[in-house]
Amino acid sequence: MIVRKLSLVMLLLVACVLVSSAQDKMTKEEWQNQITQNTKLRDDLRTQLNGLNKDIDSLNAYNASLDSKMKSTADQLKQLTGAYEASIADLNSKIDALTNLSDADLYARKAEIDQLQAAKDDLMKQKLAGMKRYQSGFASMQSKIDALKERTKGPNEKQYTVGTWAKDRDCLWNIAKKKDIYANAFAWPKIWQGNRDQIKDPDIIHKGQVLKIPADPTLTDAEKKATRAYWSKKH
Amino acid sequence: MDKYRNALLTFLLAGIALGFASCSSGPSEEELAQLDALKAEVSSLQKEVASKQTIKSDLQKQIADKEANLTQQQNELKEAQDLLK
Repeated sequence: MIVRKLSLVMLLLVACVLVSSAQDKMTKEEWQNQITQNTKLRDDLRTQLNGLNKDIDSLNAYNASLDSKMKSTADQLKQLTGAYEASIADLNSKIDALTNLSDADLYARKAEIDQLQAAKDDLMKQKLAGMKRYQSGFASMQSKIDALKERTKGPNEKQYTVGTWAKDRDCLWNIAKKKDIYANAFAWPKIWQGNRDQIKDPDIIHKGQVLKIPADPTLTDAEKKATRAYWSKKH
Repeated sequence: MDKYRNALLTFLLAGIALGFASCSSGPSEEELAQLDALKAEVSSLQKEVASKQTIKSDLQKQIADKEANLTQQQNELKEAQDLLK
């Protein structure tokens, strides 16, 4: 009985060993299959890698040729537009310089805003102004100049609408003399200089003109010089 | 007596079976090492191919951007030349 049981245990043990051995060990045939598959895979990958290397080389060459074309085109464009763009940049930096001033300092340099406006208008008249690339820049420039003009108006700046000579006796001298203007006739050049955009000759103003009345009647050096030039021309 | 003979036969058969199991015709250690080396090479090549594909795709994107810029530059050049005629 014992021998029989022992034989059965032995047979089970042998069966287990055989099964596990069959599971763990690779057969020669399986090894050969894996070798064949991996060799094929390796060869395919090598071919793919060679192709990729060739593609990358040709892309690099094309990339370099694009760089060269871009440089050449940029140089030609700069030759045509360089001076114009420098003028735009210069004007922009002047506008920025005025924008960074305090209101009081800006007011003292108010005349420069008109100069900037004139310079911008000149740039707009040039042929290259038609290029699309400058349009948004000009629009932004104009809005900055407008903002500067708005700041120099100030909350205290008055306006005066010119009446007729027959009825109101309006001339710059008489307007400046009015109590609600400067109460000082000699401050008339201030009104003239503050409205250079609409008064070319200070002796001629028209009914209905809306004049800006600068808050401070004190004449700047430039305004005094303009007044002297006016008197010397007149006499 | 028969019992002992059967038991002996069983042990003998088990011994033969074990002998077959251990000496079956599997690949040698050298051949297994060869397979491992091949698998390692394949894995390395796969990584290299993936890296090159990334490089290629980056280059293609870069080139597409440059081509667009170049076209824009050329259009602007033509525009400037036409305006200055």
